[in-house]
Parts: sequence; C-alpha cells; structure tokens
Amino acid sequence: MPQDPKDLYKRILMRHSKEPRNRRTIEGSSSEAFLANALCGDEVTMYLKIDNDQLSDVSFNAQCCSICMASASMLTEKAKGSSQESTEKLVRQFLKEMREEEDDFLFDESEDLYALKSVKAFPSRLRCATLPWEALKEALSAVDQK
Amino acid sequence: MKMIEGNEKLQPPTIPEVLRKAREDFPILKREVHGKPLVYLDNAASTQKPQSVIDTITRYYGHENANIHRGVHLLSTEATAAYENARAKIARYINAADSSEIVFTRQATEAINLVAHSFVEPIVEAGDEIVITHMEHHANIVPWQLLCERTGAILKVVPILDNGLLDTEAFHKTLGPKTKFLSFVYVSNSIGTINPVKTLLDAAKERGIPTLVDGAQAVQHKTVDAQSLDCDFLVMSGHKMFGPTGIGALYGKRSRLDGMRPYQGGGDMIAHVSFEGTTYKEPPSRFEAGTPHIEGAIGLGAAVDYIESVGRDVIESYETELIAYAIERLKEIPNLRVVGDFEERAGAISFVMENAHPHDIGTILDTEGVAIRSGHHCCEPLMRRLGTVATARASFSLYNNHDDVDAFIEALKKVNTLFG
Repeated sequence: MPQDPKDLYKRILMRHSKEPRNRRTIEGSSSEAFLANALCGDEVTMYLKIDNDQLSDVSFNAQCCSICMASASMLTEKAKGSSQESTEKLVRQFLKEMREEEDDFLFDESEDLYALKSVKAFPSRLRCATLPWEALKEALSAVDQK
Repeated sequence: MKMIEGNEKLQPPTIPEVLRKAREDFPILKREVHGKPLVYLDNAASTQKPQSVIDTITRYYGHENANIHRGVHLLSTEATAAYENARAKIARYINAADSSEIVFTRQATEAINLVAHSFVEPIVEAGDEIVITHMEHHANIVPWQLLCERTGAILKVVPILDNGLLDTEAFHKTLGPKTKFLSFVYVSNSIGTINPVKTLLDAAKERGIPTLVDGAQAVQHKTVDAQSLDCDFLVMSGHKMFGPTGIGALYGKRSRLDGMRPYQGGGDMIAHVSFEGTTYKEPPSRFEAGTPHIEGAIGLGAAVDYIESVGRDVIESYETELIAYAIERLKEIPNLRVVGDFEERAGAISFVMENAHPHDIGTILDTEGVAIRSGHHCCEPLMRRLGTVATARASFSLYNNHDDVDAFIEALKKVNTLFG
C-alpha cells in the first residue's frame, strides 16, 4: 500500500485526536489498565465500568501521538454500551486484522473507526493504533479475574 | 549561495573542499524513499557507511576470511594481522598509549557492562556510591542499576539544569568519600549537550575516583584524546562512526585492565586451561572470549581511516556551522521549541511541536524523505526531567548539507499545515 500522510491523517482521525471523546478517569471503575509503548513513550490508561455485563462507561487518559489518541477516543465511543463479551470479541478481531496484511477490515465506511484502516499502510505506526485496544483487552481480562 | 530573506546572518555553511564529494562516498544517500531523495538526519542512531567500509568487509570475506589467533596458515595469519591492525588504528584514533588498551566489544553498551562487571564490581561494597548524570543513555544507567542490585552499592545521579546543561555545582557536591566510580556521557545522544568532560574528570582524579567516559556520540564529531583526558575508560560504538553494527570498543588504561577479572570465559582469552585451574591471557585478549566480530573490527578500522581522511577538525567545525544554521532556520517554524537552551551542541537537535506529537512529526517527515528519530532516545529519565516523554530529533553527520536542512524545514512546515 502506498504511503500518503493525507490518508493517515484523515479528518476523522484529526478530529478525534484534537478533541478526544471520553478522555477522563472513571471514579470507582470496575477495571483499568495502563500500557506504554517503550519505543516511543506513548502511555494509555483505559478505564471501564460494568453493570450487568454491559460496559456502562469506558474512558481513557493518555499522553500519546495523534493516532493513538484518536484510536482510544473512537474505541471508547464504540465500546460504551456494548456487552463485555462482544467487546472482547471486537478487540480480538481488531488486533488480529491490524496485524494481517489482508484488505479485510471489521469496520465499514459508515463508522469513524474505518479511518484506522489507513494505519495498516504505516507499519511503524501500527502499535500507536493498537495500544488502547491492548490496554482495554487487559482491563477486560482483569474484570474476569475479579 | 542562497540567503534566507529577513535574516541576514543566516548563511548556509560553506562545505569544506575535502567534504565536497563526501556524499558520493555513501552509496545509500543516492536512494529515494517514498519517491523523494533521502535526507538522512538520524545519524545519532546510526550513521551510513562509506563505500570504503563496505569494500573492506567484502574484501575480507572474499579474500582473507579465516579465524584469527589460531591457524598457522596464511589466511589466518592475514586475518589476524588485519584484526590487530584495526585495533592499532583505533588506539591511534583516540590516542591510547598502546593498542593493548583497546578491547573489542559488541557495542558501547557491552563495553560499559564489561567495566561494571570486571572493574567496578570487585571494588565496591554495600553503601559505596557510583555516580552518573541525569542525561545518560539507558546503556549508562541500567548496567549500574544491575551492579547496585548485586552489591548493595548506591547509584547517585548528578542533576541537570532546566536548560539541559549539567549542574556542575551539584556535580562537585555529589562526589564524596563513598564514591567509587564516575561514569558519564561526553555528548548527549538525545539533546546534543557537550559536557565539560575535562573538568569532571579532573575533579574525580583529585579524589582518586576512577572514571568512564561514554564517547559513543563524541568520537565521530570531535577529536577525543584518551591520554590528555586522562580518563580510565572510554567507550565507543562502531556503527555510530561509519563502521558496522555489532562492533564497539573499550579503551582502558593498561594499568586498570591488568588488574581486571575476565568478563566472559571461553576460547582465546586463556593462557592455559586445565580442570584444576585456568590462567588468563594479558589484556586485551583476556576480555575477548570466543571468536570475535572479525569483519566488524576490520570494518571499524576502515571507518576510522575514512574519518581521518577528512580530518576531525574539519568535521567538527563544519558540523557546528551546519547545526547552527539548522537551529536558526528552525525559528521559522511556529509552535516549535528546541529542547536544551545552550550555544554549543554536537550531533543532535531535539525539538517538540505544540500541536504535533514527535511520532506524528516523524511519520510526516518520513513521507517527505526526511529520516529523523522520535521517541525518548533511550533516555527516559532525561525526557521526564525536561518535562516531556518524547522529542523529535534531527542528528547530523559530515555528509549532511544545507539542502538537507532546507528539506527538513520544508517538511516541518507540512507538519504545521496538517496539525496547525
């Protein structure tokens, strides 16, 4: 895939990185997980609250690049209100597809998250996009262990 | 020569005669990335290799390849001579008193670990202190932390000032009766600070404290004279000075090396082996267990030849002018702040932009063909001290010129267009 920064820095990604949704802590969260990318110093903490197996609230705090920020912002919007099980499945699927070279992508153009597909053309930035998802995966598995 | 409007003192440096054709010596500089000419400004991470180094390695495998210090056959004799000749070149390069004061290692990192294990560990007890500075690379932090864990010694860190310079007043106070070793960086890989190396070494010497200078970012930019510095150890990295990866060198005063225990055990470092006991060779062989990185050492020797063919005085003055030109031109970029407020710098310019994260800057510059580094540069404590987790870093070498700086500035303007 050819690299064009305009593809990577699409309007949707820029909007989410400049005005991220749900960038806050959750007091009394059910679980949280912190992850850092040792390579570049990006740091993300994901928070979630679960009521009756539903993610009633999902949020994050981060000190990171625009791709990571936008990814975290869109992820919280997507996960909020979903069941724990379906979110776990979604996260697994996303992490798998980001690693693979195939053109398949679990989100279509109607969703903001479709913008993350462009990151696949920038292998050095994949981890920026996946870091919040990996953190959410950890936070979810920490819930299971509780 | 072009003038930049509105800034009369801003003149690109004149390329010295001896460097006019330097770019042609580095074949990789001819390639394109993302359809743009490569502008390589990541020299602090690794420099490119001149054709002479590439040819030396090819010739070694094509003509001389054999194990060293072993066979009586001609190839082994030639390979041994080439390897030892490289050692002598490096000794001359840093003005060691004797070539036996040069130990080949895998990198500067291994050289520091070697000193920690073989020299410092046997002389420290619980409660003794090892002194480093706040601007060290992880390679000059973690080996000492591991040593402290093993021995109960305490790691003392000399603070830096807000401007990115070492706090020399605090330095003098940090050295004390319990200080057993001082290890510090000559030139900061991440922000380009040049430490007052002689002042620090003299202060340690007065107190009888042995010293190590991390010269990984100094020896390719400046003339470094081990004898006149009078440090006990000096470490360097081959691939940051136009040589191959996987090769570095430790300089140690012979009087220090003589008393040191081996670092690793194996072939080539022993005088005699029996199951009752083994005796070790003299330095430097005592510290080079096993078959070494022969072509790496020979390649590094060729790299030293290359640097000397240009001349370190020429390199230092040209790079200083080029960096000053880049610093001046960076003022054209709104929202950009250079990290470290000081006049003299070597190698690297670190910077941050208000609206764009260093990682994003790195990606956009890459698509313009401009290779820089973004991240913490293996200096997390320094980054935190300077109030950031990461910076973007442009680092220069003798083959860079004002066209590279201009391309770099134009690419930064694109960052502002996107992130504005």
